[in-house]
Amino acid sequence: MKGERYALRVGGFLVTRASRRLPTRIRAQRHQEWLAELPAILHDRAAGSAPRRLARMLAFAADTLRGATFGSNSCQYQGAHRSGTVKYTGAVATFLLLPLIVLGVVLALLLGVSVVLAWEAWIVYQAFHGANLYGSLSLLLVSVAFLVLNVVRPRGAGARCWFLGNSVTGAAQFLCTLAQQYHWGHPLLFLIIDYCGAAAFVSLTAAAIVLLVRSPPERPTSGSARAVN
Amino acid sequence: MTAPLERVLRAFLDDPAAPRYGYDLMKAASLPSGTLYPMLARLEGQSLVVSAWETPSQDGERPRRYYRLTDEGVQVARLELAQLSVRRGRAPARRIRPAPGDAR
Repeated sequence: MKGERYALRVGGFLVTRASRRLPTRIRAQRHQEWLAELPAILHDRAAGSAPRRLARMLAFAADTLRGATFGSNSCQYQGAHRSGTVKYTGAVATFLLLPLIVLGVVLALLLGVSVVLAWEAWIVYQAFHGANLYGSLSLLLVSVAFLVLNVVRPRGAGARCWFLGNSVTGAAQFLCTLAQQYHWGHPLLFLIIDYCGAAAFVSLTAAAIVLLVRSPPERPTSGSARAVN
Repeated sequence: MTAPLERVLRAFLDDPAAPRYGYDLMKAASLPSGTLYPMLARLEGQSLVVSAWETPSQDGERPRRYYRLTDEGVQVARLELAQLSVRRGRAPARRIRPAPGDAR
């Protein structure tokens, strides 16, 4: 395999880093064991193509690092040497990563909502002189109403319905645009697909609104604060 | 018993006498290395699993470590899996959600 030596070196580096986190009494053994597995994974023809085997080998090596960090943190490696250091590392990682993850999710949601709204506004703008104006305007208003409702009473099922509806419509319209561009099939077929997408959007958005309106307000219960092992 | 542990025990019990190396167990149990090896270490600490190094048949290969369930490990694994099956058989098919206002 091309670049095998380099790949093994990268894997070996990760494995060495992982084994350094282990208790001294099992460190050398585990290091030898993992190093022996790397070429075996790389040469495992049953695992698929060479890139796949390479990815698997690197995933193996990287995951030993994860296992050595969190495994010793929860005493899974029989003795949890350097437990203080490992706990500290875990806490720091959580402290740094969690806000980043939350920020990423919030930004992704904001971006998604902005794209959807811009898309709706674009449809309205394009159809300003056409017969679809009122339909598109209604869809835009429904979307805005749904967004407001979702903020006031956030519910997972409603959001899923709404996003599914948008995705179906988007896919249908994308297909129609492509078909028009490259003159695929009969135009009527793609017109039907387009209308089906719009119908799916309307029905799923309506379902989402019904789900939002009918869902009871969330109340904190005494059992909800129970710790899960 | 956790689901990963159950999968590892089932993989061992497919052929209790056969020694298995880590990557083989990973494939059989569909577990990542970061989950499997700490588990093997724990099982070995509880004397349910023993390991041994085996020299490779081809030159240039590194010796690999093979794991095998001990006699006690086989018994415990069979017992635990049987108890798990019984517990699963008793469990209701699905959880019934209380209607709003039932808790009042």
